[in-house]
Amino acid sequence: MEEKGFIRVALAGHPNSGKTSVFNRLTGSKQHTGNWPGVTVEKKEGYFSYMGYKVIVTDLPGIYGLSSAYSIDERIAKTFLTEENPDVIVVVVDSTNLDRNLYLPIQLLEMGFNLVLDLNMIDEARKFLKINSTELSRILGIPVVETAANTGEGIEDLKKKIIEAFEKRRGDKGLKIDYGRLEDEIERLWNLVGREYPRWVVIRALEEDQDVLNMIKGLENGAEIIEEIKASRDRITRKFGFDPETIIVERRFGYIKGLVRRVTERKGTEDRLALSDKIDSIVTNRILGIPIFTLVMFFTFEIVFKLGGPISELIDEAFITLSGRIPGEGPIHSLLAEGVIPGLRAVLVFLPNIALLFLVITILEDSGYMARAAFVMDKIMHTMGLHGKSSIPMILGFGCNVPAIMATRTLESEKDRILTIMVIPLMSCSARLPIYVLFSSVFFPGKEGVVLFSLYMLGIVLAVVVAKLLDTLFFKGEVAPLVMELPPYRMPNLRGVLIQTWIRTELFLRKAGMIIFSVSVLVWILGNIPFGVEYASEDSLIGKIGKSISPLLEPAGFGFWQAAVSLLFGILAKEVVVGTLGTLYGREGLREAISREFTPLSAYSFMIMSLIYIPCVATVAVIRRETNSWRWTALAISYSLLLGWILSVLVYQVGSFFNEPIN
Amino acid sequence: MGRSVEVPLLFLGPGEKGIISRIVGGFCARARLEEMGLTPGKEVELLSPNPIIVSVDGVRIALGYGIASKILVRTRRRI
Ligand SMILES: Nc1nc2c(ncn2[C@@H]2O[C@H](COP(=O)(O)OP(=O)(O)O)[C@@H](O)[C@H]2O)c(=O)[nH]1
Repeated sequence: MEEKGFIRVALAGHPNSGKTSVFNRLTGSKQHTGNWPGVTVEKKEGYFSYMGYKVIVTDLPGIYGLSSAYSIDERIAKTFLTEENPDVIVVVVDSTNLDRNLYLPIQLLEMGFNLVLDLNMIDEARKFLKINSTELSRILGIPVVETAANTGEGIEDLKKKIIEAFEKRRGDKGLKIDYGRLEDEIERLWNLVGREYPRWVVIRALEEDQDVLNMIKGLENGAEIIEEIKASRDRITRKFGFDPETIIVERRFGYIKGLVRRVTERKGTEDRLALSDKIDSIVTNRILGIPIFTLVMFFTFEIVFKLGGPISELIDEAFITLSGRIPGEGPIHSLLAEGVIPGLRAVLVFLPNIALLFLVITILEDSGYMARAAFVMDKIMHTMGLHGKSSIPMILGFGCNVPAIMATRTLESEKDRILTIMVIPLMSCSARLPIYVLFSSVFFPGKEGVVLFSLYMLGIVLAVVVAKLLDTLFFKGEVAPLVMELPPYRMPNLRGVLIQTWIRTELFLRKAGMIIFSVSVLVWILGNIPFGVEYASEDSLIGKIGKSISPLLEPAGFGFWQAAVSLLFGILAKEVVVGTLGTLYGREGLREAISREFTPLSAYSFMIMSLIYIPCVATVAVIRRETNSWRWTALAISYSLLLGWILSVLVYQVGSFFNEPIN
Repeated sequence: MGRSVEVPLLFLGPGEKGIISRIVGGFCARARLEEMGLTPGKEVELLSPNPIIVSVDGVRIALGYGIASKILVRTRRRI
């Protein structure tokens, strides 16, 4: 069909209003994810075609309004709305609670935006409420749609109304709310600013909207008007005992209350909340909260790694068989068998774990538990300068850092997200376990448990220290106090959960996969240069590199090229460290070789190094992707390398010092 | 009947209700609180004191101690 053109739509709404579900319903799989410019908050865009238009939908972060400057999400949303000026804004509201949810659309309407109001969760609202949406539409002068995004009801209608709103664009006069006792001041200031500006400019100025104030400053007699605004604010505060922001917000809520009374009729009461409160009294209980959280995390782990493990192994075996079956020989064969296929394998073995992880996380989010978990863990995490929500990704890090870092998507604040991402590599993932098992069984027989525990604890302690340090270095003064809505518990919707899981998994495959794959091929090339050497042997380029860096490892007690090469390969994937040592010491047997080359002390220092140094490429790739910054990625690599080196040297040197007199 | 007193929300007892009288301090989270409906004049009920969960307009909001000490509410108390 001939395209009539583009319509740019922004999707706004409270967190938990069902915005994601509406977005997924509208765009299906035609979406892609990126980051908002300059920040680490996820930006989702998608499109659908309807009635000859191509409609491009941008999902804004979940927000409550546009006034709170401390909230990065509100800043992003506001910047997008004012600078990109989308054709239509769809505001998704939870219609079981119009009193609160209408605040955002009312604020947007005041500013003259072209809105469609989406009364979502209508299925739940209908149980106790009759909403006259025709009347609501008449009063507000905008299209109003009823939807239940979990089943898809009303989505077609929503599409239609978006086109309608686009075609008969409302004038941008804006909704007029009566601010009562502030009206005199508003009128006076409006005359000063100039009647050619919309009234909301004055109201926003009284609310101390910095953008508006800057705009006014630029006017001819800007400085004067600013002074007048200040004087006006002082007068209001003195006269009424509240500052103008508070009065304005109160009046808006007052207007909404009247509006809701006019268009709704209650029938019966909701019992949903009673049940929800009962669950909360157990789940967020002071004593039970943390044990329950621990249990939930335990099961998450079990599902993700125990259930995913066998599937991963199958995939792994399939790849091993596959690389063994590659016909022919020579460089092409070698590239496939030692480069491409292991590369693909490194990507795909993570797939079952990641898909399962996203599945569980989506269920936890959709059911409403995630908000509680964050709340329960908040106090503990605060000591690290982190938000309660960070606890989930960090714990998942013990399984595998890659999905753990992806799980930071659920964090809203940029600071929390970056700090969490930066310390996740210190959570000792399961791929590092084989190294510990090998070395501790050779050198500390009977004490393996203690050794293992000491390494995990070391990781946690370092995470606390590093998070604190980065917090004071890079995020001074940014405190996000805990204010969080706890949505009522809900039965997750299967279809919705699956769609969301798929979207997140696919993204991983596409983006992280590319990087993991390319690095694998690169390492293969390094292992085969100069042409004709035995793969990854002493004479290959990578062997030479190993030799040249081994002196650096001398003070840590393992200054031989095999250790260096195995650590280098460990960057590819930590599982590879043991395997590489195995290849390098092939002829004499691994256990004998390492018991000859290492001492208990240097073995321990080697384990510390393995715990801390550079996260594997997969992790580096997701760090890069998720922080959207090479600088943070470089910092993650360099601090871990430095920290790993310092600690292993420290342990070895101090240990040798105390050991000598005894010997 | 008791007399009306103004206390930080933090000091409400479980199940106790109060009317928000003001939010003190020009601190940055205030705009957020107000957008979420925690404005002067609204009735809040403390559902759980530790950790703090309040009910406003039929929704549940979790609050940190810092912030809960800055929201002042009027409540009736027998003294
Ligand atoms: N009953 C019902 N549930 C919904 C509806 N829309 C979304 N949900 C559910 O509400 C929860 C939160 O939805 P989500 O789209 O993640 O909300 P967001 O935080 O606004 O993005 C999920 O469990 C959804 O399945 C709806 O219209 N009716």
